[in-house]
Amino acid sequence: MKIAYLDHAATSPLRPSARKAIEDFWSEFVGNPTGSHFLARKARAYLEQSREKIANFLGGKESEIIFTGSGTESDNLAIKGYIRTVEAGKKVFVSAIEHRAVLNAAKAACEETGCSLSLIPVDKNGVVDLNWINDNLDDGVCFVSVMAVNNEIGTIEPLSEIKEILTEKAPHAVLHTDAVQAACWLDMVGLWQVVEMMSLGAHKFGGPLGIGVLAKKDDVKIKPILHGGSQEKELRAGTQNVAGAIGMAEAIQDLKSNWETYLTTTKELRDELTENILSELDFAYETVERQFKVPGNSHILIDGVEPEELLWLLDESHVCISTGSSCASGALTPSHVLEAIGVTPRRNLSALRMTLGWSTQKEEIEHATQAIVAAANKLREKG
Amino acid sequence: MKIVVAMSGGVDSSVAAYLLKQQNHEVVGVTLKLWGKESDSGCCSVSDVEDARRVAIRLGIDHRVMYFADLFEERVVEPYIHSYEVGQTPNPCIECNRHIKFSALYERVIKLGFDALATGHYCRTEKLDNGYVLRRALDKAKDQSYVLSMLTTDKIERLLFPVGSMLKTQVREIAKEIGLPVASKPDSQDVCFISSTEGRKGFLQQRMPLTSGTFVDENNNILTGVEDIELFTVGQRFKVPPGALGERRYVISVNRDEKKVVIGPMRRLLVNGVKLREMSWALKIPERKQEVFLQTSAHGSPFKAFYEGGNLFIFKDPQKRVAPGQTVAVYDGKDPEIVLGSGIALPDIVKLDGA
Repeated sequence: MKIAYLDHAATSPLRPSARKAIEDFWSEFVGNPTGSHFLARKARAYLEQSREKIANFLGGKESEIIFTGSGTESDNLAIKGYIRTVEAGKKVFVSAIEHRAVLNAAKAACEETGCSLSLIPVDKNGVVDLNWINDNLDDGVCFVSVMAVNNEIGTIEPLSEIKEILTEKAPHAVLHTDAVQAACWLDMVGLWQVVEMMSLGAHKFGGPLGIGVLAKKDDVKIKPILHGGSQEKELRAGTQNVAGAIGMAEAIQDLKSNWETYLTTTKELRDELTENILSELDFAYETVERQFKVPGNSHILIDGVEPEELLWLLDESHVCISTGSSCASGALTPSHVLEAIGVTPRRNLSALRMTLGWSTQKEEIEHATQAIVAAANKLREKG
Repeated sequence: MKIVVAMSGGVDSSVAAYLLKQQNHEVVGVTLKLWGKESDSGCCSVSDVEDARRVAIRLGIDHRVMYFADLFEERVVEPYIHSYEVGQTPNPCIECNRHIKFSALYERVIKLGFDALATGHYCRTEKLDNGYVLRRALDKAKDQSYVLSMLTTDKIERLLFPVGSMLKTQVREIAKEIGLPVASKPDSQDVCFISSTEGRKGFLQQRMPLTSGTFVDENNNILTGVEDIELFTVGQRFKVPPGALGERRYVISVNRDEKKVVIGPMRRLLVNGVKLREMSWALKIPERKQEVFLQTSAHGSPFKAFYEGGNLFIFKDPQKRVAPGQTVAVYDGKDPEIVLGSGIALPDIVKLDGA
């Protein structure tokens, strides 16, 4: 049976060009990029070439790119790395719908350093409340983190407007953005101009698992969270994942090469998927208004259907989507994002996240639509 | 058949899954996420899920986790606490069976198109002319029919208990033979949502005030003080200096309002019957005056009684009063291994004239 993979926000297939670049790298032996001999310098060259490509993608400098092991690690480095440099009593703001990596890193860092953490409320579309920021921001705020794109509902956050308010009310505060879900969809050059730090994770846009980047403006001082050798300008100890860096850089080149077309095609497929499901199920609703979202995210709520049961039936049809958010045991737990936008969790309310990516085909959309409609109808009548 | 096996990560449910797979059924293992909210200890913790998952991988069956923690809190944990507040004796394992395992889980399994639900309980099912009933397990010492006694024929028809016709020793042997990772895992004994470190008192203390009061004898003489009268159950042995006659003493009643626990000899505990609430019958209501056997605790000895109609049972011989809130399982008078049904003991004291 065919597979419909609509969970690109969780992870995406490795792009063929990225795969080839990694395989080519693996077929030759090079040394440790930190070493001194010619083989080590060869490894170093590969690493630095990848760094350059990623810097270009952001319209930034190579000195601003730090390789990490994942988007989560980048978030941790940015947040703990910066907050550990400030004095106790400072304030930190993060949005209420951040990824757990940001929320938990911020909680831990604030507890550790004696800073206070406040959550910026969001509206029913997941957009941060700019008035709240305006009213509550002052020079006691040292750090603000707002994601560029929300991983569950796909909302694009107004980072430029946030930066404007910060410049006026808290000019010394550092603005960080978790852009892990943004790389495919937004003008990353424009975004990099607005923030001081940015987290990226390769496996969300067709790069390999196990590599991420923290982009950091040169004048922002942070402490490392991994100690050891002096790699990445003493900000991230450990032998770098050269293969990963190569794969990430290659995925980025691929992404850039037909970006405009990609945006249009994906939007069309997403709209088709969403509208077809909604037209067949009169007990299903779109969670957030489409104008606030990235083109690759479709998120709907289905009334009268339990998410675990829906997922079970979709599994049988080989349709991969996400409902709620998952926890360590593998069971589904209620989503803090949905709660923040005012969706009250209920046993028989299914939240379906369908995310498209570089490899999504029309057949997958059709297959998924059919399976979701059939499963929802079946469960609703038996429910 | 397409079967879901509820897997707790323990030996019994693991071997149950193995046996069904051997019989060439299409088996899916499911672990319930019931607790693990604050302290992820006790049963159904992440490590138990991991144990179950490893067994499933070893057996080559699919493994899924299902989330019922909110329902569990509502139907098992909160009533457990409430029982103590009103001086009753809760049985959370039975409530879990009633509301979660053989209700919410069972219904979901059928809804998803499976033919049956299997567990690692020690119990058997039997098809009679007019329907299905439970029969005690082969291994009498492990028999769990008591905690399953609320089940009715329509559900029993689609339940499987693969280890119910085996001895526990055989089950462990099989687990060892096939190299199951949990072969030597000890059986869980306590209430699954109370960790062994905090204990029942620790758990309750955090959720309700425990009343200090006094132990008194039948003449209202104070025997000693007590910190937590809620933790005492009618019928419990009372271990403090023996009474004037040197006989054993028991808890006769617990009165939270008066902050008293009345202690007395066995004869003060004896009653002639019991009234039940929330009764369920596997197949049909017994005839009036029908002889039955009653069992009032998980490992208690069954004793003879007569069904008087309605919700009343009269004991053949006087017995210790059944603690209010305790489940009473009813077994067939002619074939005492067959479960007829069950109910929950009301606080009513049933005494016959002249008794």
